[in-house]
Amino acid sequence: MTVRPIAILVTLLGAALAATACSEHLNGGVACPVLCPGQNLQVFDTTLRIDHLAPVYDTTVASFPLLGDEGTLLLANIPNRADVRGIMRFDSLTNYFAHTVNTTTTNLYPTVAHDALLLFAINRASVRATRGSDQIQFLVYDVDTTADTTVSVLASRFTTPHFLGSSSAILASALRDTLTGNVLDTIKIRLDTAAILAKVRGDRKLRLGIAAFVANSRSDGVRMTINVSAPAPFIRYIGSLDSLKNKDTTYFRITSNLRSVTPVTDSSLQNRLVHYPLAVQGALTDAVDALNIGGMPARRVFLRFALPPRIIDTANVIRATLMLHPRPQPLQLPGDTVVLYTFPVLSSNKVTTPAGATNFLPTTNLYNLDSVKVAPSSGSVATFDFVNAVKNWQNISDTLNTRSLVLRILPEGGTSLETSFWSSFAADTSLRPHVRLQYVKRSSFGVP
Amino acid sequence: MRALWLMLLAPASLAAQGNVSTQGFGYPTGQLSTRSEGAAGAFGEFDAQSPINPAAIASDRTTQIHFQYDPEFRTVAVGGTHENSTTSRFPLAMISGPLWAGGAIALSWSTLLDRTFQVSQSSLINNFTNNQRDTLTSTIQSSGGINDLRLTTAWAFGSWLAIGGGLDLFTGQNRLLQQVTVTDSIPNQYQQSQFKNSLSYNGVGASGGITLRPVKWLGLAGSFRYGGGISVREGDSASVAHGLIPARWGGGLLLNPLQGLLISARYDWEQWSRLSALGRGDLQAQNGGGWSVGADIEGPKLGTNRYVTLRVGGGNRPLPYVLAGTPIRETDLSGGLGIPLLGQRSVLDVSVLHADRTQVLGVDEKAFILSVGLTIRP
Repeated sequence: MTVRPIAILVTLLGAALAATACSEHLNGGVACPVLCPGQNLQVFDTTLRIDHLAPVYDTTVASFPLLGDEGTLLLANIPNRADVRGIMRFDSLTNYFAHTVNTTTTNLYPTVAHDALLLFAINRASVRATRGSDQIQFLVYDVDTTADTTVSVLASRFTTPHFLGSSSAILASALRDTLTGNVLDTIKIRLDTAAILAKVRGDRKLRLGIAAFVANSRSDGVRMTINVSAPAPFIRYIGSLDSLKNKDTTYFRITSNLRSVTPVTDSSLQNRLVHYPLAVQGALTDAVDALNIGGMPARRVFLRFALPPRIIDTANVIRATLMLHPRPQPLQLPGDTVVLYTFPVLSSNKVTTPAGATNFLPTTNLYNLDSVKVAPSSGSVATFDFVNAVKNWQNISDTLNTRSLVLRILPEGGTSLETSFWSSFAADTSLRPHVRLQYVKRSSFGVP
Repeated sequence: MRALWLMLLAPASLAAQGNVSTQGFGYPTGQLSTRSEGAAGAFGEFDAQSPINPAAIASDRTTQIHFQYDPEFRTVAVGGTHENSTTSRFPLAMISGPLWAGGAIALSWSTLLDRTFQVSQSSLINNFTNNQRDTLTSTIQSSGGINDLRLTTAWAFGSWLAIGGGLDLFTGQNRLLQQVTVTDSIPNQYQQSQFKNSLSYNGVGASGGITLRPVKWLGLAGSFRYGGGISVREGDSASVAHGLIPARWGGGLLLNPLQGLLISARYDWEQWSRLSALGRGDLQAQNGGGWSVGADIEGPKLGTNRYVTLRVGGGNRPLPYVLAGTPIRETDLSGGLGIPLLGQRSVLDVSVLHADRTQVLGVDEKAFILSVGLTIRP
């Protein structure tokens, strides 16, 4: 009997079965523990309390960012909690306009001005107020003094003699509306034209101080940021050579942009000071038993870990959690929360100061450390998972890559919100930071 | 600093081998070709492709290459719970050819003990920040085994006697993985724990064997393996444990009562306890013998002068250890066939073996081992 078809069929069947088996599926476990003796795999759970800088060196580092590098201009007026105003420098007011007759262009220097305005845009998403019905008003003052950034001197200029103008009152809920595209977010403040013209015809240096407040309820607070780029704040006035009385109809809109010309000895600072926040009442006072994050100016918390080598170097940590006990802060505005970001420090031990180390942060979320949202007024323990950092620290000497983390807010200088936790110097030891580690010990396994 | 040992989470007693057949240093594959497996190993002493009896290679003095693939489909039952797993094995490869004056030479690679398994267990741990229970999965995995690399020579003296000998080099590795994974709904809270380890084996041995064919319808065979030393090194550690390769002896009987019908019986004894010095645990090794009987029948014709070969067999053999005081044995039933391909230049052998292992501690384990072997005679 010739059975070629059967042979082919069997061959194909065998090949098919073999191919099926190629997808190896080893997993088992139903016979455990009776047939899995001797190799117990245990997850250890240890909580380490941080006492006086060991095993964690914890401290607050100020201030971030450099003055003028905030990227926005914060205005905050929250009674008894925050008073942050804005300074804008227009140190080269434009004092002429180009006038072309036929093909000849002549620079004309106005002797008359009217309709002097300060225009700026606010970040609508940043607008917070006690109530949506609050009427927000902006006040502008002349803060031109020889004291470049001295808070007390500049703050004293926010008075009636130096008053330059104010906006109309704007409903907070309208300012905050980020859903309706046609809602006006550009604020126009009519300035004292005579004062502006005097500046234009004088040293051309106009330095404005701006403050926001709730006009209809002085006990309410407001907080927002001003856009400092695209569009940046600018000054505009209408200039002409003579008054309309003399029938001179040649007039132009003249604009001036932000510019700083002092301090002349520091060009970097000079550029930064085109706009900067003036923290009249800003961050909490730092204390040895406190870890403060955020505020104005913003602080960071630096933590350098010296966790037990028996865990970090020889075990596999599956979860590492930093637990900080809060020092609840009085509420600034209803619903206030602050997002705290955990950044690894990428520096060797050659960087010896916390202030230096806090600058060695990656620009990206290198270790996938998640942020934590906290309410500064809350009494709940804040937990920061940093096992991904621990994984990266493992098997790398602490001298090459210090086992350090920084807690910060984003953007720094963009909010007056701050949060505070008890440090390792807290008198009540239960309130000191704790680190909870869950880990699996390395064991000699596999020898039957 | 104050360390608070809050709790010791033992998700369960975990680890090692979660089945009956891969305890200790692993599962003895038998070092049988697909052809022999088709008859439950009964032809092992006479089969040129099974690195059992060195003299057997003299019975087939053609140049040939043989390799095979043996996936095992295992079912482990505990109470009413069944668990299926599949283990892929490539247990045998051999190249052989003729020498002068009736001689033959072969180089074979076969698996002495296969230690491939994976055990996973899940438990719940408390997520203290989310007030929920997360699933923790612990896994122990091993792959690899101890392999026998053998160089064999044999000579046939007429049609009735062949004698052979071989030198064995035992080598191989167990690649081990211990892993803990926690699954939760929040990313970046947990990291996986992975520890890797390896055991490297090095050993030597020697083998000898004889086949006799006093009359045309009767064949007799016997063989032994002398086990030399074997050492195991854990990872890159300097410490080495020493033991001995198991000694083995066996014999077989072959009957050819009718044209196209071969019947065989085999007994095989192995001294597994010689490996005990390599281990650290309290697993008890057992020495012992196994037997098998089988038949090889010329089946339907496949073209001109080519026949499909049908095989059937059964047997019982010990696995190398005693569990909970119970000696573990395996009862095999098998069947298979051989299909000549490309004229006589190659043969495809397929077999299926059903292995029923001793029930112990309420664990009942059964497996089907499919074997596909291809022999090419270039």
